[in-house]
Amino acid sequence: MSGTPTVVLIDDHELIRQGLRRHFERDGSFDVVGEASSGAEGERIVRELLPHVAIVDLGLPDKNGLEVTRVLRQEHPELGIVILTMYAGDEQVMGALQAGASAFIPKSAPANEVIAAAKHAAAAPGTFSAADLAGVMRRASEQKVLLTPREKDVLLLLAEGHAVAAIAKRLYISPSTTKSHIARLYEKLEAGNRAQAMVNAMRLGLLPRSE
Amino acid sequence: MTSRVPRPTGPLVHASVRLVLLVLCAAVAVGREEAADVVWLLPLGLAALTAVAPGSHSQAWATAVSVCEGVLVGLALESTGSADSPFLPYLIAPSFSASLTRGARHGVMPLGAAALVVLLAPLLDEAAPSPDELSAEVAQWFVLAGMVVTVAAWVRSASQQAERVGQLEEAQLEAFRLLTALREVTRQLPGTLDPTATGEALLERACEAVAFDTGAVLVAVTGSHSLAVLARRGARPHWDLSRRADSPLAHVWSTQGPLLLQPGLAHLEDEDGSHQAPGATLLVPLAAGDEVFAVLLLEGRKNSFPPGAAGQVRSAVSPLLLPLRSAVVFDEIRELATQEERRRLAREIHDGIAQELASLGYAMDGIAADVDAGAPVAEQVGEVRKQIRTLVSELRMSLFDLRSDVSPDEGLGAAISRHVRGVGTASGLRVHLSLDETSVRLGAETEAELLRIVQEAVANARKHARAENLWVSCTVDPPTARITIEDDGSGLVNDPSRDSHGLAIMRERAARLRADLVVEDRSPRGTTVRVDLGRVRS
Repeated sequence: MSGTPTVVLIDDHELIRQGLRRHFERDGSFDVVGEASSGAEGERIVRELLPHVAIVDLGLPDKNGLEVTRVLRQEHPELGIVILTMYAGDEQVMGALQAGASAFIPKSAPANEVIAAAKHAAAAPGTFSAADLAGVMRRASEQKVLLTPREKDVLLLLAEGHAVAAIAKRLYISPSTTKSHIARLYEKLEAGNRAQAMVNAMRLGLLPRSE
Repeated sequence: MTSRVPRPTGPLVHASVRLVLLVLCAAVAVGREEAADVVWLLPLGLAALTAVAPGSHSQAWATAVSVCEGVLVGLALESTGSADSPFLPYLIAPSFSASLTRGARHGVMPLGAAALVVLLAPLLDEAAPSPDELSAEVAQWFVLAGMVVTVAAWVRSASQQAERVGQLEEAQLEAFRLLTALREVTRQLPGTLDPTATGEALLERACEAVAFDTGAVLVAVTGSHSLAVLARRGARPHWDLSRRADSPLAHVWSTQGPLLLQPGLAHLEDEDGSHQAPGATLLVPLAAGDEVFAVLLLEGRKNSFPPGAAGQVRSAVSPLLLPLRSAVVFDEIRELATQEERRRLAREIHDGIAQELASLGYAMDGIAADVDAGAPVAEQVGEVRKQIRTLVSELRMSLFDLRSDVSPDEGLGAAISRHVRGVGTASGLRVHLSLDETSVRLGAETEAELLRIVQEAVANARKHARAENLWVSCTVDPPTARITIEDDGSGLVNDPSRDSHGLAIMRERAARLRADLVVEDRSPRGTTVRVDLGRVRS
């Protein structure tokens, strides 16, 4: 065995595997030691070959690539796992992070980015890299309780103790609209009344701490 | 659906098997010319008659009869000389019946009872043969009976399976008939399968029957405990429409009877923390067949609903119940079919052209690496690679659109927010989202259709307008909704031919919802798409 790190490709599309293999071979920084076209086969060859890095597709025919990632991560804490996918969206990135992947790369990215991600994964399997990760994380934290700007205004005025009529006047909206905002707020904050809503908003950091 | 008549062959099989066995035993017994043998025929015959007698009996009764029969056979064997007994073959009878009708476990019971008697009797009766004299013959018959039990149990499970298949086929046939009938109805009476229009017509009828301030038709949302507002008249109250176990709505749903509440059903919390309630609320369940599928909610002042009001409303709206039910179901089916088709399309794109394009991209990467960086063709190769990347990104967005759905427990606002955030990530558009939803939901099919209009509008802005910002605002107040999608891109004026296909799709979707769709230039630049759904008559 030479000192070159090894990689396996787990993807059910042969053309993709061929293309990647060619690039890995040309680049020379990895030896492609195995290929698999299903999740189960992928798990098996990783167990057998113990590569440094596994490139895992999300849309595998037998099981979701995230499940495969979870299994691989549990069995091989030191394995670098690169998720390579056609699927877009924050949820996929968050899913990859939670499953224990080391990197996330869309299939639109050029091959050298895949190789760069593999190098990152081999060097630091326990970390996670993805394009616009900061944005994904920010949106994920916002999503927990996503308040509209109007709802934030209403929340602040409620916290100051104003009545509905007063809030409506301050925000130049009708009392009926105000009520609807409040109902929505209560629902989002999982509160049944004003006091509970305030407590929950405080807990979620939606209200300034200083009284 | 129609219920099947159970096939009457079972008891007949049991009775004939018993008869054959009993006749066999009788022949042997008579042949042996021993009085004791013949005497046993009577109780065994009686027990057999009891066991195969027609009529429905409880499980426990059947078990008791078969165990008694087992004991009886055991006693008969004992007193007629065990290994020589003419009744040995009859061991099979009760076990076979029980196993065939109720499974192997029940088949073993009479057999066990008989075995117990045969084994224990010698301890009580010294004249009887001792256990070690129990010949291999007796044991053989017990083993044979055990095998019969197994076979009968297998036959039972096989026939049950066949019956299930039969029932499934019949249900499918029934579904086919209904769908064919539905297709005819849709062809002959266009417009009658519009749930919103039918709901509005129903409110109109209710209004003629009894005076009310606010009225609404609430329908069940598949997969959710909450109800959706299909149509409404009058003011905009903040109802809590979840069907929690102890709520009046759940009560009306389960009892199928109307309910008059005075004071009325409380609205969600008001300004001073109190729960405001109208003077009176009348809840009338709407049922087609035996099943409640919607509730008519009417609000008015105290005493505005006289005792007979519910009955009057019911008879006034009754001709519209079946059309409404059909319209709601038809909408659901159409939505299911649409979702299925979108998923199929997504799979096809994902596994086909998208992967091929991506691998083409990798091939271009290879060519780019081979080409001298300074060569004139290098720039062209780079350009082609860039275009392939854009194409694959486009396909990823299409897949994202095709796979986005409104989940039953989150609602339209959450689905739109998830979608535009996803688009923002992938496209670099800055997305400004504003949601104003009441706690009440629109129908699931309507929500899905609205989400698709938003997807199309956002895709247009992303693909063609070269915009930087996207403003999406969504106000939902069932049964009405207004969604505006604005961008600061190149606008329609500069490029009037721009994606007329996308616009046509949006128009089609809006028309299906009977919503107004406005596409216009935005000031100072960009495009505004606005969808207005529904109107409320006061």
